[in-house]
Amino acid sequence: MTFSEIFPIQMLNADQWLALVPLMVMSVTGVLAMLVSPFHRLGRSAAFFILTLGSVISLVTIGLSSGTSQVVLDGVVVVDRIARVFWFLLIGCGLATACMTQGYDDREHLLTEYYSLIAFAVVGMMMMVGTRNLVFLFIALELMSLAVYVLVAMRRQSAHAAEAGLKYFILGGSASAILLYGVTLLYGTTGSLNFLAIREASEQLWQPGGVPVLPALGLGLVGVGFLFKIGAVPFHMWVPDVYTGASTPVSGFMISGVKAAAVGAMLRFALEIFTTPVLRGHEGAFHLVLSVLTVATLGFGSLVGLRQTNVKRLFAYSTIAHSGYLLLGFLALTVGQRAEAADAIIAYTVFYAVMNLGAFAVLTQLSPEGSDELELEHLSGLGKRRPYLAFVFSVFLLSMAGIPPTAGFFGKYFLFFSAVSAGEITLTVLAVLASVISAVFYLRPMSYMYMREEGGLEMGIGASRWFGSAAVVSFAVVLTLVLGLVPGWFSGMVR
Amino acid sequence: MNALLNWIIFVPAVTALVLLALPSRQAGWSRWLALGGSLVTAVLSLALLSDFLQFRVGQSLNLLWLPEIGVSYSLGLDGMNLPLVLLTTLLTPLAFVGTWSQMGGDGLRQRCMTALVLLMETGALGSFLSQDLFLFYIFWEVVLIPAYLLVGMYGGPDRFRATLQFFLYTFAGSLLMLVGIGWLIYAHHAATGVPSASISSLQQLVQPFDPRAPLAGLASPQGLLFMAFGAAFLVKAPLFPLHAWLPSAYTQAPVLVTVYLAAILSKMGTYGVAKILLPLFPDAVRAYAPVLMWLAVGGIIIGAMLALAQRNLKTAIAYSSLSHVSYILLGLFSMRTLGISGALLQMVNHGIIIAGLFLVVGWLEERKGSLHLSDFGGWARQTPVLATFFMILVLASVALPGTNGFVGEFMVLVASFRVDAVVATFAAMGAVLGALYMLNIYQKTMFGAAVEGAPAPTDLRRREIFVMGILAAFIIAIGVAPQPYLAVSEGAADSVSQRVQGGPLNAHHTAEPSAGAKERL
Repeated sequence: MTFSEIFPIQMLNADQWLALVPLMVMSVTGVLAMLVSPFHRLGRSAAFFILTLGSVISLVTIGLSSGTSQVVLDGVVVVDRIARVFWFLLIGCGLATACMTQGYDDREHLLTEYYSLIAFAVVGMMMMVGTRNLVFLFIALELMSLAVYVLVAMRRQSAHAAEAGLKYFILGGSASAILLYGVTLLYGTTGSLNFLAIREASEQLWQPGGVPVLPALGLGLVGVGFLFKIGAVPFHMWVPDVYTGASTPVSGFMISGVKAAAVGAMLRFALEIFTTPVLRGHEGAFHLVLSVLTVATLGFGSLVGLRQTNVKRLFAYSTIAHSGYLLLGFLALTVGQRAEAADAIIAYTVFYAVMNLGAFAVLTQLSPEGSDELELEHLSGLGKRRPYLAFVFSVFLLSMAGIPPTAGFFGKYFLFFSAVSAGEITLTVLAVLASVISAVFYLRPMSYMYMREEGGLEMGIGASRWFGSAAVVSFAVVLTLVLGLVPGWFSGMVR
Repeated sequence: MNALLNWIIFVPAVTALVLLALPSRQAGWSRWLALGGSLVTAVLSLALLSDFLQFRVGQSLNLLWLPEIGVSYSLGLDGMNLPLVLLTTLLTPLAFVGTWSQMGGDGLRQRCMTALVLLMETGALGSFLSQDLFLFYIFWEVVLIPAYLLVGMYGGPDRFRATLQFFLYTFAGSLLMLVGIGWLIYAHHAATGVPSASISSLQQLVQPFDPRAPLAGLASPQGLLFMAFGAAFLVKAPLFPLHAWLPSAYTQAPVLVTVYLAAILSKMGTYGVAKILLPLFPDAVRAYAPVLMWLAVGGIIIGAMLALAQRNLKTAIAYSSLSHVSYILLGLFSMRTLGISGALLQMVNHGIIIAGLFLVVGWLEERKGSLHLSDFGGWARQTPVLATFFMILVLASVALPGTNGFVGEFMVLVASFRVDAVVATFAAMGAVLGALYMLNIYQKTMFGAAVEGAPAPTDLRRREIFVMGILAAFIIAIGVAPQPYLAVSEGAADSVSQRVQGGPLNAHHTAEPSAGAKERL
């Protein structure tokens, strides 16, 4: 008996090893950052430095890697175009969050382990978008979620942060359990954990004239797990409280990174399972469910967002509304069978992450000392006191509202375009109306910054000029405007 | 030489960016800088005019921008947009000079105001010159945020409601147009295999239209697209009953911005109707033109009656603008060459007259500190120059023969009379009402007894006389010799009319429009 017969371990070739380098580098980064964290004085800087170095190395290796897809260990890790784009984005999100936290962590007495937790969360996210194995997906999701639970609750002096952490932990745990239950149902009925095998099995299971209950339920439950993470109605309860209670940089990390990872995993799941023709035979019911979810998410996010006075809470509702646009793209992708909808979803996720990181870096700079909860009134007169900061914040807000020439406009346009070409005119018009409503609440901070003089908090706000978050702001604003003028640059790069 | 179009569009934008980056200590110079930038643009546009007159063909510029979604950076000058481009470029420096003293004082206010107005100029020029629907949309939206900020930052006490209304109406309209644009690009892709947003190639592709019943027509693709684009253009213009945002936005905005909103931004809406709505959706326009003409007449009469009822000078002029823009729409929806020609001329005329009227309102407010009609009286004796120019504007506004307002409105009325005599009769009644409220305003401000104890107002300053002189010269020049202006846009008006009528118009032209559509395909 040879070694490989006793241990049937697939040996990786050089290309596969190379494709895995970013993942391994980030894992090692997490461990190293954890190891240096306890050191008293230098721990914080050392952990930050290690995270930065590891992220940069990973980004470079992704950039240098050839464009070929690598499938490792029967799909446990898949490094293809989607994975690479999302890896690049996710590592970027982690890096940006780390930079945003510079200075903020001292003030809020965050633990040094913050940086290694970010690295672990990034590893989890990278695994999420780079796998077509259900169990591995679950492990990745948990790796990410556990790190983020801790990050949310880390601001120990704040009761809101503890509440947010606990809420996120309990609800997130339930969502993971639901997802896991869906996984068991899928495994039990199809006999495989691999997306592609499940797709093949579904073609056998879905016979004309009837829906097999268990696999359909399994798909549905896995879908619920994803919808929870992207914060779609009716799985959105946690979003406003968690985003408000968490430290501002962590909220930024969640709204960009965690959401992007969930979207990436959901995209792969949809692309590899839901594009099979047999599922389209039952598109009526599926279409109905997804349309109702889309409309509810869009409507809820934009209408409730109108009444918010807390800026972070406002962004939390905005991210719910944005999940609605993404669902529109998923509708075009699965029901409408528009392959270009995948590109639209990727572009939207990337653009959305960039502008949200920028906006949250601005919020970090403005975060009032003590509470870390910025109210709209605090923004009064910012246009005069800090004209550049007010200007870039406006750019991010306009980009989220989808007004040209910003990245957000093209993100939204690509999604609308794919929905229109899938024939979803009514839904697109509803999405447009939601987008008009949400534009109103994106303009509210602007109206405070530029149109009101009185009432702005002089203390605390506007005092912080941290270099890290300023760098993130500048980088994000340049990207937002460049992508708004030449979005072709991005789509060319993705291909 | 082709880069001239680019220069015209982007000189204002670059000036605006320079203004915004100006150090605070130098902000006092910003109105001079803004004036310089707008003058450069004006000179460039005159070069464009002489070029056009020389070669009889407009310049154009065509670059690939986003080939994968069929979007090109395509600009072109033609007989239809040339007058509007000139109106925009020439009116901007005049508006700056006309509101010179109102911009003064605070450097920050001066800087933001001029920079944002220049950004609006870029957006307006860009949308007039675009030959690509997507590009048109981008420039169209560029105008929105500066307008919103200007009204919100420097507007009157009720500015929050005004900005919100203005923004909601216009943004809803333009997003619907965006969906329509996406649909058209996709339809072009489905029909020919390549996506394209070029207006001329989309014209070749008439969307199916169901003429059997009004509602079925609206639900057919062309009907839906017609509504989507109509929402954008007819809100911006505006057409009754989509005008609810207009009175408060015009009244609350500072004078410079009101001038811009009324003279130029509303023309973006009417231009969109002429350039995009009529040629792209001819069947739908033919089917709904009677309704639209009635709505336009409704706008004329209701605008005039509301103007008559106002006590606030600025609101009254705002309603008069609604009334007069409705004439333009009436002309366009008459679908006759004469009516479209008249409407194109009337776009320029209305731009000149309404800019002058709002400038006068601004000076009155500046001198009196109030906009209430009852606070004025007897100014004709105290400020004879102001009163004279105001009279010229009033006469042009009521369309007295010899002024530019007469030529345009007369052409519109004649064209609509040929289409529907009843509509034209009502529109003519609107003209009578127009005379009534304009003369009423004039009488209450300029004649009558002076308010007791009020200090005598100062007459126009030299620079204000200069601005008014230029506007009055154009009013009389176009009124006496409109032929050169009409000649420029004649061909464009004729081709739009041909296109939308699909051949000679008969009495029951809606009988078989789909057959006509098929022939054109």
